Amino acid sequence: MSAGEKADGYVARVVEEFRSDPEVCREIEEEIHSHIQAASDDFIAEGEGEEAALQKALDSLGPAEDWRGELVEANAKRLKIRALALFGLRRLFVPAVVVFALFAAANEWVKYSYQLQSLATLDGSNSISLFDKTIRWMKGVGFGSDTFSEISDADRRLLYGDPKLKTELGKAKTRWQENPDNKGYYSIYLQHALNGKTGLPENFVETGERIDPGNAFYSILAATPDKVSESFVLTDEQFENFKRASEMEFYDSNKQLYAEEQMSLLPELSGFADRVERLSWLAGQIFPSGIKMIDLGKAVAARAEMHAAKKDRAALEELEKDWIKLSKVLSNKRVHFLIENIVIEVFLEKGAEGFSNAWEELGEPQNAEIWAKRKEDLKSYKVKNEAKQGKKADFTRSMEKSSSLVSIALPAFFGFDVEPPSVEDFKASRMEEWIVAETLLIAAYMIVCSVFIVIISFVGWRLSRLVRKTTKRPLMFLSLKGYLVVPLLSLLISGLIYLICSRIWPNALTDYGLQNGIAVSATVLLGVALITFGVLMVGVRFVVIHACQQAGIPVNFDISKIPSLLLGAITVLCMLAFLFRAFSVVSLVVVLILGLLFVGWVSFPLLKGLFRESEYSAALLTLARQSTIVTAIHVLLIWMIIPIVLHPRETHWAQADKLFQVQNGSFSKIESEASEYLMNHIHTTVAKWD
Amino acid sequence: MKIDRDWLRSVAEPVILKLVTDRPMYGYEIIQVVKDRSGDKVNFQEGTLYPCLHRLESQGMISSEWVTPEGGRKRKYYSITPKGQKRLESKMVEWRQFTSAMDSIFTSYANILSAAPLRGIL
Repeated sequence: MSAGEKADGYVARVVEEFRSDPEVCREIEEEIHSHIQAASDDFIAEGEGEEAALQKALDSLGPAEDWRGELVEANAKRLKIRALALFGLRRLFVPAVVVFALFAAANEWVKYSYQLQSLATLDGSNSISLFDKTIRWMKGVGFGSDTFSEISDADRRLLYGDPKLKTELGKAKTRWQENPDNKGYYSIYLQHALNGKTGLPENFVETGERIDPGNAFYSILAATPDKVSESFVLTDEQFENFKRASEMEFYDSNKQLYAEEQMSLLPELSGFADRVERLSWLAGQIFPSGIKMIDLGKAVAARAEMHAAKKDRAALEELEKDWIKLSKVLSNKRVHFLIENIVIEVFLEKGAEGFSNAWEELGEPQNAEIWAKRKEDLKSYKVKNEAKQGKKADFTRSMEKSSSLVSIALPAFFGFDVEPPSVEDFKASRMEEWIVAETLLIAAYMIVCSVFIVIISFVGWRLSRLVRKTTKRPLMFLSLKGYLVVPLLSLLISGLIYLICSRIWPNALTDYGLQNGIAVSATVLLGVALITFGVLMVGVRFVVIHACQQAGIPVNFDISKIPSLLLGAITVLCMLAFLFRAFSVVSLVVVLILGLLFVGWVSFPLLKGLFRESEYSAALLTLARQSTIVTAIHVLLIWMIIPIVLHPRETHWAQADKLFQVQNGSFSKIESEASEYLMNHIHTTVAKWD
Repeated sequence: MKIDRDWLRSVAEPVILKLVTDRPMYGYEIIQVVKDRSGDKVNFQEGTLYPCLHRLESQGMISSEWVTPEGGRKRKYYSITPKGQKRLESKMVEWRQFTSAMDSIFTSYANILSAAPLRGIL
């Protein structure tokens, strides 16, 4: 290393702790460089060579560490405001955003992976490795784009729903068009058309009179034809009257529609009748007789073997193609809802067995082996799935035995379904318990943490004094103030912001509280663990540095990034528990872009730290401050503000209502109705085919 | 003779204030002037000088200015402020009182040691 490079390294070490303030940093760098140059010039004047003169000038300065601390102390006032601002920006915002990005990305990945695996399993090609899934996900391969590429528009409509059904008007219109004589459907459609001011359908009065001859509204309109036109607009009063009458008619006259309304409790299930019809059609294509799906599977197998016996390879291939198509339809989660998983699995297993036998008989063992493997994969998937369901049920049952808050909160935190006894009981008794317990929980954790921080800070402070005394190195920021005030202040600030948030979102506790309460507690505990870790690191550092100094070995450690990495990693793990929360694709993209900053922010200094001696007081400063303030920011940003802002408008209570309705019978009713409907359609279709 | 670094630290502040009163100086120049005027007896270390300069500047005792002389190198020159002037005066008074007190102590001690009867006893 040349003397010039040594000089640069020396100056860099002196200004190490000024990095947070580039202006001060640059000024001090220039002053020291100027000093070194002046000293070097004098040595050159005395007859030294350029390199030797520079080396002598450097030697005369003494170790950088000897005066860096004092220099920082002397400039502390100047550093404060700017350093704090930069500190906030670089050390708090970025990691917070990054953790969020990682969480959102993990969420997307798991959803993708789950759906892909589900399709692959039912498709027969069960083994998609974790690596392959990740690659496909990174390439942006939509799980639907290749898996369903060969499916027709009609089938796609079956799987993804009718795009026309996205608006209320569209839904109402489709509903009426499917049942053109239903007066309830028509009046609701008309109501949406009037309300949305999108223009009325042609001859709407005539149609109304035809469908609903006793309705005075149509009669009045029919009697005043001059008022009826495309630009016809009702007065508010007229509209309200019509709306009321329509709704009454709607609910009173049509029981089937009411059942469909119930179906809308479950996301994306509206228009299910159409899908069931399509499914039955598909079933009818390959299955000329039979009632149950299991029999359907057996029949497919029988038919495959029959083709094989006739040596009709083309027919077997055609059947195989149809069977795969139906498998894909069945793999859709909405269809899953209608038919028991186990039924589908048995159906698929039977079919696979049939195809395996058929290919064997045709003398094509390779194909037979593929199907045999698919069958085995399906079996193992089923066993695993059953075991998982069993464990989950056991866990839920054991949790139900306990009446404490934790019995609800803990399973929810880990993503298990919670099954409280009833809506009324849950709302009436648990709500208060919930709010009070959660508030107490957060308060208790904050108090415990504060006490713990005081104790641990005192230990850290004493330890830092010992380090300073023994190693003769400055530990500027490891004062009692630094240890104590910063964490306590951050806790205080988080408490205050929490109160403000509660004022702005009065229902925040109840709406988002259950999960957030646990999350806050977990994060605060995590913060405490990190502070403890930080102090332990001070101890380890002390021993290592002291030993190195005694042995004359230079010290080269940079531990400043450990807390943020650890915090990031553990927080991501915590966040995995929240995988099923809703985040938009836009927010995912934004945070992923911001997440790139993280790579530079963490990895670059970390790599750099391997090649330079880093003053450990800076590292410890980061430990002490980062651990505490970042924790507070995490509590606020990740667990409270972001979920509240980004969470769907629907509250947890509303979701709970739906859950209860489904659990209290609606679900099984809908399911049995749907099954009945499906079977009737299969019968009808089969009758046509026979 | 090498003077203890802690002693130098304690006198660094009045010395710097005094030197930059005469004319603006930069860090390296201050070290050289101190060295020259003390006949090579007092040698300020950079680790003593620069923190002290920066501390005085943040306290408003001295001010600084970057100057690039024609054909020369850019340097940071320090000069005294009115506040620094007052501090220097009070430090000078303090210093005189201190040295006078120290002189008295050391002179009395020397007299005691030189007293003949006492020398006999010892």
